[in-house]
Amino acid sequence: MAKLVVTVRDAITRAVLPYIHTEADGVVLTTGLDGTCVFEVPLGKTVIVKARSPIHRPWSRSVPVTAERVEVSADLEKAIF
Amino acid sequence: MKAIIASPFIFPPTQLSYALADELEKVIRGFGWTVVRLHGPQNLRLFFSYVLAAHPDAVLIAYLGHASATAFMGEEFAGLGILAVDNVNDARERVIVGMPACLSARVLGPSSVKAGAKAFVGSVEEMYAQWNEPERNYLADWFDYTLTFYRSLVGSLTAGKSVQESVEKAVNDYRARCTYYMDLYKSKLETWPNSDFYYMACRQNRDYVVGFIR
Repeated sequence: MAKLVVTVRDAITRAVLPYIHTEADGVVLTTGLDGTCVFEVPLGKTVIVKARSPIHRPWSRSVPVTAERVEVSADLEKAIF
Repeated sequence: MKAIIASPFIFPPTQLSYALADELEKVIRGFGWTVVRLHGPQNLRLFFSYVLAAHPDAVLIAYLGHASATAFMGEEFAGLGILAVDNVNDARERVIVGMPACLSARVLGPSSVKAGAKAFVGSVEEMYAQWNEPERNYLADWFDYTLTFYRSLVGSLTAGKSVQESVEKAVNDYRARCTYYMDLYKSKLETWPNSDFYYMACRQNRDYVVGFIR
């Protein structure tokens, strides 16, 4: 298994976003106060990573897990007026 | 007939609503109307008040941008907003639409109609933008269902229908078009990775839009 570290930020301010719904291959975690959450994923697999916030554009990516620790940055744009 | 389109360009996602306003301008002109456009930084109260005074024959005010419960903000984030509860008297006898715009139907809507606007259409909740994602151009869908509202409204007014009839039909047409896209997104939940979010966004854009008629 490998560690997939997802850090969620506001795309404009670069501030980390806590309490964001984050998903990797169907497993759901919430980002901590540092905007980060860590998934255990199979090494060598490509996983679908999603971040969802009620006020930001949805973020979805295919992430190949090619090392024992993979770091992903999800930068979210504002979606509401 | 004449319309005023106010399309600020400050803070995301107004870069998208500004592009939507470009399309709206074409739609309205397509009905033979004259359009007075307030572009980006022109969306200050001073300019907006001047345009209202200079064009008393503009029957429709369309605002696409950031708003609060009490104001269309325009580019005045540190100010009063271009149309707010303290200057709604300036928009008497107009049909006012805040779409897409957040929250404006909470206070600004009823205040406008009470002050003499013929009608106000907006949302009592936040409104969402949609983007062009790899699996689907949700942006085009958002343009389509929003323009469905305006096309219906302007078409009915052009045909001489009453404001009440025009607004009610436009809201109904808009909701039906939103529902069409919601059904589409729902059917693709397993294959379109962002369809869950846009289903929610489309539902919120549909369910909280209300109209007030004098």
